[in-house]
Amino acid sequence: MALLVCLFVAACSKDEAPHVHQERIVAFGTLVDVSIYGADADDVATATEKLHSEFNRRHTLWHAWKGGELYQANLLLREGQPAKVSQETIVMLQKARAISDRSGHLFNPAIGSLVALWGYHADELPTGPPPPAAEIAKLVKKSFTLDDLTFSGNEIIPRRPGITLDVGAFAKGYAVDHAIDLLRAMGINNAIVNAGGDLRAIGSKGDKAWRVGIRHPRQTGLLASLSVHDNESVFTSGDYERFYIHNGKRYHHIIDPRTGYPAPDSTSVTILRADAATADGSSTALMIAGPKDWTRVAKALGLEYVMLVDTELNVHLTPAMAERIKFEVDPKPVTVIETLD
Amino acid sequence: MNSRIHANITKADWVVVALAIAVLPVLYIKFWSHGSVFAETVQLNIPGQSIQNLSLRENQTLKVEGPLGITTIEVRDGKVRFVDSPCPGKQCIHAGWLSVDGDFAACIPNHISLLVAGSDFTVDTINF
Repeated sequence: MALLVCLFVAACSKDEAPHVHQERIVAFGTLVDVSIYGADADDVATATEKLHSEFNRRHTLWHAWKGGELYQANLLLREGQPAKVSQETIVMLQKARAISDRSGHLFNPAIGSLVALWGYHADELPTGPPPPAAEIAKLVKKSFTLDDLTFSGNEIIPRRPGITLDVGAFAKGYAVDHAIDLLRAMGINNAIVNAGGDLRAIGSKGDKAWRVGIRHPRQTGLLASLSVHDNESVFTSGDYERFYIHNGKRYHHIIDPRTGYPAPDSTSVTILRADAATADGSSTALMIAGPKDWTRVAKALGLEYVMLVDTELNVHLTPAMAERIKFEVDPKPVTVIETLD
Repeated sequence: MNSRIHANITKADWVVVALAIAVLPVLYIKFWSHGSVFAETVQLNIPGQSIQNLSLRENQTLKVEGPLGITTIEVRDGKVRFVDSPCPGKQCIHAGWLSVDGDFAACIPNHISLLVAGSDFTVDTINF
């Protein structure tokens, strides 16, 4: 009997948490968490260092208001002049254009002038008041999209002057995809790269799936959690990320290109899909689409897993997402499950 | 029948049974008591160092160095907060007290972050 008890205790002790190396770095202007399972400490340190420098390189390259390649290109494009950029910038913009087109330009990296007008092209958050309505209307009327550009070799050619590119809703996802490619090239196949709260996971923690918590948009702690499988990205856009309150009203950084004002009807949108770049652009598009139109846009973008929290904090879910989500709040929120037919 | 079972139980068996009974309250508290909403540890990240776990039960004021200078962090009565930091926006300070699993705040310019993550914290990372 003593032997049996000892075996039982030994069996239980095997259920210890698997060892995960976790590194937290500041890159891409945000916190980047790198979690790696099943690699030795030296490989983890080398990988983290590589990701750090690669994130910072792309951040500088595509920064909207500091003097990198995209910023320099914007100076010419605004004047209606062609701009020479690197091939990787062209490839990134082409991918962004494909997603923008599918979203009906709700995700629109060509509205840099509007974002700047709202004061979000600065390190410090704006304090208000909102910009004058006439200035907003003037920029909305121009209705720039990436279709106003043609790409020829390493050149971006604008069809008309005035366009300013801002890839803030896309570049992070694109960089996360490349970070995962880098890890795989180093032989690391079990990891999560989480850049400022948006992440892609590969592999698992041994026989356990990676588990991701989703922040509550209006209180501390988590709203929900879900297990992610090999090669899945989870991206959330929210009105709580960058915002200011003026006369009791919240003005956040996700601008609806159709109105020129912050998207008013969603609090947060979480997308789960394979590639991080598409998840990034899609979460912005669905924030703007809002609770009345999100299913149409999600279908156009080929999404399957979506969670949208509206301004009443009701949670709208696709059936596939509803099966994956575990709410971490008590009582559970009101949920509305909507199909994408 | 009873006496035969009794005869088969050795002293070592009784010791194991006594130990198992003694350890029950500890196991109950560890795995079944979810009465406490508040976490007991916070992860502190400082540039160039691995993540440190601080107890939220030990009141203390810490001064940690980042690229911009000294950031002051206070742990008090199960909560933690940024008290002072040499960053321009002071968003880390405006985040206020953190106490629940998953609460986090960061001073991005000074590369210092806090994440409340007690033993009940079962997620590997946070989407926000």
